[in-house]
Amino acid sequence: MVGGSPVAGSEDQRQWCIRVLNLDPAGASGNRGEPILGVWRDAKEAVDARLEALGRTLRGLGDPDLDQIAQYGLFGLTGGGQTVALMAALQDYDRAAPADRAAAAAAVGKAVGAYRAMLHSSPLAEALDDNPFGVEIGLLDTMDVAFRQIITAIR
Amino acid sequence: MSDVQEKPKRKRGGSLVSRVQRSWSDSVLSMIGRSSLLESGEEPPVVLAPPPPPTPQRPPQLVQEVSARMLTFDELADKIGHRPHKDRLGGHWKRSTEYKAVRAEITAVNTLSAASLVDGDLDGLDGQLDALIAAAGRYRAQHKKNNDKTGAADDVVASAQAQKLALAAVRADPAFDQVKHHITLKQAIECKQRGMAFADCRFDLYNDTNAEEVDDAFGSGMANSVAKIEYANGDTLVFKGERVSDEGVQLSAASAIGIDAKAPHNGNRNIATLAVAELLGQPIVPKVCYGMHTNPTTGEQEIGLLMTMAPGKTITTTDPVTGVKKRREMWPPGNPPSATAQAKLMEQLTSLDWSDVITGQMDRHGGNYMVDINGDEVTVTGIDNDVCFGAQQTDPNANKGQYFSRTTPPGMPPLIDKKVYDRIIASDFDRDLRPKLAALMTAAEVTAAESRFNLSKMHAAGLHPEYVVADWTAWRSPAPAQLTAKAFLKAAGTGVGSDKSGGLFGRDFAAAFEREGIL
Ligand SMILES: Nc1ncnc2c1ncn2[C@@H]1O[C@H](COP(=O)(O)OP(=O)(O)O)[C@@H](O)[C@H]1O
Ligand SMILES: [Mg+2]
Repeated sequence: MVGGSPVAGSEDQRQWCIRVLNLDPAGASGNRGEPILGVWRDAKEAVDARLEALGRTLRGLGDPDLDQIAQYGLFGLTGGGQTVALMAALQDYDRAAPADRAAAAAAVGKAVGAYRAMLHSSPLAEALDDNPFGVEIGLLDTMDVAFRQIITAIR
Repeated sequence: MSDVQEKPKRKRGGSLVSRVQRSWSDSVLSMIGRSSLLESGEEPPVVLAPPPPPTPQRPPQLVQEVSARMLTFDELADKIGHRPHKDRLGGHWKRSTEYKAVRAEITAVNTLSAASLVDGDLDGLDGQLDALIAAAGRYRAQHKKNNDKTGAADDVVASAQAQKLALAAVRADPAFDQVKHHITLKQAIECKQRGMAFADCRFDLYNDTNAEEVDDAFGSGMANSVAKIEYANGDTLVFKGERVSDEGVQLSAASAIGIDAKAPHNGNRNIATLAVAELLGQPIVPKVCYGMHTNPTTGEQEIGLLMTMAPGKTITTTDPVTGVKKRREMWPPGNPPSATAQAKLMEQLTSLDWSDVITGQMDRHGGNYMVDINGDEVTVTGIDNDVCFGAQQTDPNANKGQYFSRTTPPGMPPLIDKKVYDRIIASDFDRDLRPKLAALMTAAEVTAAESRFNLSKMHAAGLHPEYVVADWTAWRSPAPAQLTAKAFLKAAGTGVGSDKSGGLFGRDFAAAFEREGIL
């Protein structure tokens, strides 16, 4: 799903790109930009903060069932086994030597695909996004924005 | 994983929850594999981590910084006086006026600090330290060309300044009143040299006046000898003297994770370990505080860590001559632990594994934890919690490849007790741990602990639900393997030559279980 990484041109070509296009082709292919693990982590933290707010709301109602949900339901979704695989792939990519970056990018693509499939088929994710307690979670949207950013970065 | 227990039911309706919200909650419960507490019996509700504790009575952070440069009073005096003068005159050492002035100020500092803390003149001592600094300055000016002497004078100034900081920390300690009747000003300063908070000091209870029976040769490990003391109030505790510095004796595992040999603050690491075990809700390390005991060799009162006695025995013994470790038999052959005891053993061993990854424990070899198996009752206790909470270990998932001298089983625990899981998931570093750790260690060490804690929490979440164990006897690994917990931990390995393992059970018990035919 990831196109071949741009062939590094001559240093002259690179300088031209920087001057005229305001874009560094060497940087575009990897670890010059923001680490992609950070992109994902920011999104996850944003979502977790909102899930925590939902948790607080649930707990505040003094209802044993809502208490149960506050404890079990929320964190698992963004912290499960898929997450560990995804984090590993993102981290590998950030650390990859230039020669290994294409392979690492392919692995990221796979991990992101699997993670998105998990999220989008999760009734729980949908339920959290649609919770009737007035707490905006935006789980699927926030994650998708991050994933688009990641996929753009590794192209 | 739903072990259903009978529990008084609560009626539906009449609550603040609307119909829409109730139907949402019912469907979410089914998605996460729970059933409503309102309709049917369920397992008892989890006790949430306690509410944010009031900020504990701790002294300011500055005490962490002072110790590295601080000389003891004797060293201070030595600095100026230990070198015999070359030019002997009429049988007396010839000394400069400036030298005599420094000596006199040091003596005055010593005299003032020998007073008990409650009667001590703290302002007077502070002024006296200023006078010492001034005298050392004059001495230095007099001996500008002599590097030995200027060096000694600089050391005296640095040390006196450190003593002033320590004195300020003594004053600022909110639990000052708890100790003021029981120690001298000098001892109070020594506490601060060791990074101690007076809140953790029980000199009122635990001093030699209250000691009824003392065994000074009770135990000795690689680094320390420990005493067993029975107190008048019935407590039997283990005492381990708290050194100011571990220079020259520091374990390489300790330097590997960045513990400052000049200010190791080992006692505080034991106190911090207890805080983690309490967060996990598992009594798997001794209760600890500071007390005082006379060192049998020097005859001096020492400040040290007091621990509750762990029952049972260590897994290994170390031959004092050859240093060779030997495994003990943990039960008489042919008489293995009961099924109940086995379950408790696994629960407590994995809980100690979890505590150890969070604390970044580097030294959990078989001589540093004790196990007592008595019928159906089991007690696992991690002792010697000195080598942990290093600033340089941010990853809980560590192994010998990264830290050669590490003796804790490698990798993250592959199973987690459900009670521990619930506590970890419900807990929050900032709310539940940071306030306790902040006064016990450096800011960098707290930051590393935060990283280990959050990564451990994430690992726990990833184990949910298949590897969260509610019942250590009934649990089976996911199909098709369907292993029992003990077989699963054994399969996870001993950790030898590997970066993962079945934790303490995998390393120290699985083989013995197999030998006994109880695996
Ligand atoms: N809390 C305790 N309860 C029972 N025995 C203890 C306790 N602490 C230490 N010991 C005994 O003292 C020995 C040495 O203590 P340890 O703290 O391991 O010292 P070291 O730092 O020298 O290894 C242990 O092996 C054990 O036999
Ligand atoms: Mg030991």
